[in-house]
Amino acid sequence: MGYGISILGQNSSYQIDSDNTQTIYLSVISSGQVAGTNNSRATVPTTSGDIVWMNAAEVASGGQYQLRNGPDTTAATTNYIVTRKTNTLSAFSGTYGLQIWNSASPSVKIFDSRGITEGVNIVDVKAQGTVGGARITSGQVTLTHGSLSTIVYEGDPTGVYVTTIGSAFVNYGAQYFGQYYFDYTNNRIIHMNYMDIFGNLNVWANWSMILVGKLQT
Amino acid sequence: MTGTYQFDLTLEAAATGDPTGNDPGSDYPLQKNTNSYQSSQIHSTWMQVANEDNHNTSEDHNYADTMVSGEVSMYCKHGDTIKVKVTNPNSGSTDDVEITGFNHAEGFCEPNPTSVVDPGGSNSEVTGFKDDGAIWTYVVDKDDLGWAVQYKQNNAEKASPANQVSWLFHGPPYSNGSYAYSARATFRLLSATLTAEAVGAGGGQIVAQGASVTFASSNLKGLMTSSGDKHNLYVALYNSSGTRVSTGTTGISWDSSYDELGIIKADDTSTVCTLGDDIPLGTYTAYLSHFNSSHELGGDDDDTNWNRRLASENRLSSKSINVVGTNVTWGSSDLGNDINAGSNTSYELIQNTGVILITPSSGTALVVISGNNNIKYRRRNYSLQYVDPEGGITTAGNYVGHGWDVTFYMDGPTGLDESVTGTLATGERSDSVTITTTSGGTDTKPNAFDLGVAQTDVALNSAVYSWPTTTISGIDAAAPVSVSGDGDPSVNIAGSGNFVTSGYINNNETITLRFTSSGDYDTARTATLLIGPVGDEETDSLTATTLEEPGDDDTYPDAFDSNLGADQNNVALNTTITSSTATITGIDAASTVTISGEGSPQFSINGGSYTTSGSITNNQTVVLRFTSANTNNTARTATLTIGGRTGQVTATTTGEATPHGLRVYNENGTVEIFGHTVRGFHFIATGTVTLANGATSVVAAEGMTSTNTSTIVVGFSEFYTGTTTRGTNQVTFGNSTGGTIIFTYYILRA
Repeated sequence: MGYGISILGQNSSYQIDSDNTQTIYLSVISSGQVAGTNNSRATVPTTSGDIVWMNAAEVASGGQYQLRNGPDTTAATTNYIVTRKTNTLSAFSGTYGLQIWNSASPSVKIFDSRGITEGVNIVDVKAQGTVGGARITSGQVTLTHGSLSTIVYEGDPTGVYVTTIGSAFVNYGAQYFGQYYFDYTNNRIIHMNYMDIFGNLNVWANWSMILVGKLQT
Repeated sequence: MTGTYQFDLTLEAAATGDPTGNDPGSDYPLQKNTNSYQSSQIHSTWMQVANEDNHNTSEDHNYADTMVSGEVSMYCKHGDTIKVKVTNPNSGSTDDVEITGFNHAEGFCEPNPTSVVDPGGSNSEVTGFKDDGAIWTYVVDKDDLGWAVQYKQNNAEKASPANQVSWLFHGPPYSNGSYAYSARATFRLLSATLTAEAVGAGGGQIVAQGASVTFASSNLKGLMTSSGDKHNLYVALYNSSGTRVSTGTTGISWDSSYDELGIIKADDTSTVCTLGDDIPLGTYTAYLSHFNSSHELGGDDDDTNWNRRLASENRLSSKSINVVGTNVTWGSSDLGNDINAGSNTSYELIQNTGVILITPSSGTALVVISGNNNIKYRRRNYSLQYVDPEGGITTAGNYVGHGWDVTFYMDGPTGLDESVTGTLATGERSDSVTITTTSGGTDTKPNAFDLGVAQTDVALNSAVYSWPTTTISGIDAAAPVSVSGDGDPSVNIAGSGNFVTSGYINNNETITLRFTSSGDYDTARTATLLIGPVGDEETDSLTATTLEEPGDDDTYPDAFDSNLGADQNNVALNTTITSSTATITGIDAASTVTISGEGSPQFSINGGSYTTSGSITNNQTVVLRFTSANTNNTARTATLTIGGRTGQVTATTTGEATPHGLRVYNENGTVEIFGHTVRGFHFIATGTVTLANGATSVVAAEGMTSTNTSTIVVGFSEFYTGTTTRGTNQVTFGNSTGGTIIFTYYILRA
């Protein structure tokens, strides 16, 4: 480190390092709940580049949710979190708090305490290609991809969010890409990533990373 | 024996209809035989079909009676010879035309004519026969097809009625379609097997004097429904000299009888014979006979003639019985030892005979009591149902049967230094008991005794004995003994070998309790032994539990939770927690193992690989493991379930490390929303790439290495078919799909 500030968390985990030129803290800019129906999907307001997280709040429907990252839509009652790069946040008024700028030229604001009213605590990270995709019908896993576990998270799904990068639903046959089954019965979240075009089945591992986190508010 | 029976038929003219058409018994008016009964001819007895009785008309006593209107008919049996003599009254006249018999094609058919001695010299249909007095003869064979098929109609077999055949005789047809003359003879085949079983426990053909025996017909065939005295079979009993024994000489009686014969009917196939007490011992033979046929050529037609019912040629079957005297024993050898009641002037004796064995088992034994000390008895039958009211009776003249038992009641003396004696007899078996009181007083409460430990895995319905043998001490006079509980408990006192339900025991004598274990699997029974005077007795109980039902495997293990070890505290974050090794016991079949909880719990059986489901058998070991939470002060519990029983291990991560670094709290200052305990995440790069086949694209990814896949990760917003190669501070996307791909990537840091 040449100059500036570097902060490490426990176990030397990364918190902030102003020496970096690319890494920018993602702040929670909004969270809440939307409730759509199959023919009238709710919209989560986002802008390009936002990272959206979701947690299925509606358990009665079986836990299948259709999500898409920008514009994000859902056909079920869903809790969401929208996160955004600190440097693209709206300007804050006032002179309180802490700002950290990096060493890029020109420098970029990588942290601003005034933009942090809520946080996401990452509890797990699933790298690309490490989680099997599942086809779920009638609440049962009926097809999986290879030997990879399809479980993203084990435990009560309440308050647990997953990123939706790569999530998509195509209404031709049944194509569930990067989606999740929140199984409140068996306390787990299962990754769905399959295509069933009138009997032509394909299942894949996650082609996008999956972050699992809890909202700190 | 078999009989020979003959019909004489004289054919009459003026028959109408077509005997070769449909059932000749229904639309062809056959002529009734009108030949007079004479000494050289058979009298075919009356037979009838239901609701048709042509017997009781005065004129037709002289010829064969009808079973079907317009024809002669009779019963026969296997081996009998039956004949039909046909006479053409117009012989020598212009009407002397041929007779057709055994028209096999229509009307008449079986028994197959080949088995009939055809007087015309042909074994098939006989046509053109003109002789008067010709006789068709047939030896009845129960296996002939005709007894099942009877006749044909338009060349089609007709199967009703069963066990019956008809023979048709007719002359040639007139031009107007009628026939010159005709007649038909019908025979019904009887068969039955006589059986005999003594009434009461054991049954069999050895029957005691005075007992009853049930005679029944098995495989009864051919008998029509009874109507009054008609269509009955009769059972008669004969001694070894061949003399029929009857009510007047032996006291024999039948529950359903015709005078002194038992009756068998098609709808009541048994009859009970009660032997008289004075019937001589020996072997007797019962015969089952059919009545509704003549017994001999030239016999009479007297319905009341015994020979008509009992003639030897009418016998269908026989069965022998052996009438014997009785022998009576008790399960207990006697009423017990004489009793010293001490100073107890209110002593009451209750003593059971044990099961009474009577040989033969059909026998009975008269119960007799004597004495004047409120003596009573109470009988219980072999179904263990009391016949007499509780407390007993004094009624004389009652009997007991084989397998019964009798409880004997008797009061002791009401004064000191006195004795009373009572006697119980069942038939030839009797015993007496004396109760004495003394003025000296006694101690009849023994010291505490032990019947041994509870017994398990006991066979069903088996005798359970207390073990070891118990010796009673601490008494100076005979102490009363009684038992209670399930399984008919009894005791063997002083090694007598006899098990009784009550009695007396002296000091230093041994006693063994016995009872019968349950007839159900895995069921406990408890019997209690009481020694000493009521209210001051000493008791002990013994429990026996039967075997577990085969196939009812026990897969519920003994508790194993504690064997998995104590809960673990202050464990490191995100580390593997391993339980202690537990050995599973208490199961006798493979038991299902499952595991649940956070931290991807798994288990290993007998050191095998870790898994999440499986099965375990007795004495195998199991270890569980899971990953601790990745946050401080967080508990995770793994629950192992084996056959429905659970064991758990909880691991709680260490508390918060010493606060350090930069921390941002929410507006209330209550929740840390950024800080060293909150793992935040960061944006590194995003972009959209168009990549031709075979091309690559290198994107800067600050902090990335080839291995830090749990902190810096890559994602794509759409279906990505390219390759991703991690490098130091960069990632390379490649395309070998054969076409151009366009994708948007995201690179994040957590």
